[in-house]
Amino acid sequence: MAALQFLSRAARTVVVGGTNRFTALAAINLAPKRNYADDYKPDQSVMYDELDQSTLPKFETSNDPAEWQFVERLIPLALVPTPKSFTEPSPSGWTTPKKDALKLPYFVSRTKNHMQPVYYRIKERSLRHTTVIKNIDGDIWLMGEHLKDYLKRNTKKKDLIALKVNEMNGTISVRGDHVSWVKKWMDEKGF
Amino acid sequence: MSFSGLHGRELALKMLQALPRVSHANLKPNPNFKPKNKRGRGQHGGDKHGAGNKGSGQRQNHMRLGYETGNWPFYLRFGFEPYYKGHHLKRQYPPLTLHKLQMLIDTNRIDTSKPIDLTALVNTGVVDCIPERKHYGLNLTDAGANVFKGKVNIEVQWASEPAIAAIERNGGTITTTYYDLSSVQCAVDPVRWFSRAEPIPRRKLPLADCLEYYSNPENRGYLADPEKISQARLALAQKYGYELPRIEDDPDYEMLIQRKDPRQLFYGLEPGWVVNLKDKLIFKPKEDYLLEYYRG
Repeated sequence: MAALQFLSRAARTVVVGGTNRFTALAAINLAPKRNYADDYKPDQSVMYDELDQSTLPKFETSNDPAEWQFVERLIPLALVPTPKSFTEPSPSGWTTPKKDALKLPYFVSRTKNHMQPVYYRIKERSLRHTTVIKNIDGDIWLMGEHLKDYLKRNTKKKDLIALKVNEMNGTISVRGDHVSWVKKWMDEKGF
Repeated sequence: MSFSGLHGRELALKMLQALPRVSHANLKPNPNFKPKNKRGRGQHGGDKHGAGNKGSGQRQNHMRLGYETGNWPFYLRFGFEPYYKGHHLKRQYPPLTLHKLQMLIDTNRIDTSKPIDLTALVNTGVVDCIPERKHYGLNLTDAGANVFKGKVNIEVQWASEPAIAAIERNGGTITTTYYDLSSVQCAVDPVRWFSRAEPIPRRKLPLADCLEYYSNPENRGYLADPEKISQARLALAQKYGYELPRIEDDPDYEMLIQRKDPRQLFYGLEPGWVVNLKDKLIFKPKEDYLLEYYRG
């Protein structure tokens, strides 16, 4: 199964040439998965059809679209929205993926929320700190070398960068907290 | 590389190129191999089971938190001082940083052309406000104040002074409002509230311990005098050294000055109304005692 997964990843990398990866982002459902219809259960003991309408409190019904637009404002978005496009880094530091990144022999695709898939993991009773990069396609070994060079040049660790490539899962893990440096490197490359 | 149009040896070679290298990570046991369910016992059956030799490593008895290998532990040396007494009953305001707010604007999750309130923030799917954990709303904090560029009309439940300054420096407006817990419950998930056919609640008035906060123009409280608020805006601009943009000349002036009634929970909808999402209808009460109750 894992081999098949890998093969499909390799085929996608080679055949598609990255064009689909760049543009095609899955439609992610933002709305809660709960079925709200289950929440409301009418009182079975009350026979609504036989109720004396005159005893009920008076009310008026409105279907004014001018009022309904305020209700529509309260309904959460069904899908993750497409972010704005920025040529430079946005004020918050979020960057638009660059088309030039497709020319590289490796590619890191964004998450469903349009963020860079870089995570900080703490394991083994907080003894092991790792930075994990996911969603890597293409020549992952070359990417590992490039990233290692960059971290050696920029961080204080120099020759102590311990970097592990997992080709099967398409992930790279680095010992230590290098999240902001890895993100900076990815910004430079355009991922 | 394309696999289409290839056969036999060529196809096999191409596939081999794409297959992973053989390593510990992808080796599999032989067919029909069943791993032993029990670890070995007896004289040489188990030995050390990979846990090393002697001590806490072998026995895997990690010291408990605060234990100092026989010393009288630090946490027991002094008398008990209940700094956090009653913390589970206090009102909580989870932080929302200006940096996160800017990120929401950049990634198009929030619409700055409309006033932003608790519902708009929670509907992004990124900000959490959980009334079950005594979250009475959000606290706007100043982290990222130097990068904040948005022009917004925002309503939060608590705000720090630098955060207010960062919002107003960009020509935006901010209000701090009190939400009681049932109002928060409705505001964070209005669809659920409407599906239960419950009327929109009226917002309760602030409790005694925070009435002063919400009446203070320096906090942009919703019960403060609007004239005093405009004076406080000018004073804050002088304190932080920026030129206050004239919102009267702003093209979005109408949006920027939109405020809710102290009893109102949603913009454009009044408390007491029942919303039918299925048929797109709004039911408004006409009885005097209901109108009197919802108008506060």
